[in-house]
Amino acid sequence: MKIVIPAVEDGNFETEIHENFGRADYFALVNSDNDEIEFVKNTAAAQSSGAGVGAAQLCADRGADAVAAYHFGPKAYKALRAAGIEVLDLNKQNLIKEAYNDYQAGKLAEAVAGPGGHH
Amino acid sequence: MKQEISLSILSGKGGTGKTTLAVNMALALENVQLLDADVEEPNDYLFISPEIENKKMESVMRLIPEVDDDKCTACRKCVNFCEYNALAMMLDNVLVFEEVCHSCGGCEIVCPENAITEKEKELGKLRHDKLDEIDFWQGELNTGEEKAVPVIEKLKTKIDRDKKVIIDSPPGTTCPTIEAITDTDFTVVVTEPSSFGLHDLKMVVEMLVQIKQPFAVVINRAEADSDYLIEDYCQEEGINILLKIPFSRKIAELYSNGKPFVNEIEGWQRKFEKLYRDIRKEASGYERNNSN
Repeated sequence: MKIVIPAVEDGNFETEIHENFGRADYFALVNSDNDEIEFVKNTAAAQSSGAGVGAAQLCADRGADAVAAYHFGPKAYKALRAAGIEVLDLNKQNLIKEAYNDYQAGKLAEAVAGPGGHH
Repeated sequence: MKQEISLSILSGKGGTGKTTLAVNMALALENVQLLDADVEEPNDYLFISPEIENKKMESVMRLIPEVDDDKCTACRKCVNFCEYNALAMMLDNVLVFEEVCHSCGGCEIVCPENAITEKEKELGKLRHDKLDEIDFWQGELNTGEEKAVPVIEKLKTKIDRDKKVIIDSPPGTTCPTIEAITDTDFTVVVTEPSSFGLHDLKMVVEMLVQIKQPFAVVINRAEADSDYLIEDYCQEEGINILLKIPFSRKIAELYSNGKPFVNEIEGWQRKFEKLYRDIRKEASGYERNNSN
């Protein structure tokens, strides 16, 4: 299974989670079969509109099975669900490894769409 | 000098007194057209035409793409083309996010399979009422829609240049505001004598200078001990202050009951008539300076 977690920079399991999904700088892609981690730049973050949709597209294109973040905008949520990707909520986790461990332990709950960005 | 002029009323933030000025001024004058272009929350009607919902209505439409899944080969050309991420390809299906679509029609053009057609969707509404001296139009953006500009564009097609045109603009400095004030002869910026008022006034002035729009200031909720905030700034910048509407319990109470104070307090009709004459003078002076 492949899980995506927004990250503040290109790093490792000790890297901090980004507070947003669509506007995150990087995504950590963790393969739960072998615990390998890979970082990809979120090219959608810099776009003027629809960052959440672009970010969801990137996750779908990378074959994500699940995405975990603190906050999903309504459009990102809709796009991820349409791709059949599991959308999970984070709350007290700070580092990528904490989110990943909680995912492994089945502790992450299904997310609901929150309010989107403002223009 | 032109017989009548068009003016737009603007403020840096909501709640400053645009509606107060637009409505009272419109009621004080003859042969007026009042257009409420604050389409996200139009409220001039409360004072002018409370029953506007039952009056004549016109839809403002926009085009959004519709994808025929049978023809679509998931080539992604449309998704890659869309700068606004209004399209996404999920499990070989194109998903359309109508809220962020700019209705440019590009996706239809780049689709090699002719799988995309455009369909009309209602973006907002125009409402109209005709009073003795006021021809009143209101623009309204539908809930959930983000693009105010097309509603304002359509509203502006109703402008009658034989009348004194007053446009109540959306507050701020963004595209809808600029759309509302563009092509008007003069802009009146409403502000209040507070630090917030001054801050937001400066933002608006910066924008107006940038687009070379002639303007002057009206102070609302004016008070002797704080007007200097606005007056000092305007003096430094060479901006005219045309009128002060005092901070008064009477005016606030009338407002909260939906009553324009121009009809209730002696002397204000003349003040607003003079305001219009002053604006016309300022606007024509600007025209002369710029035709050299």
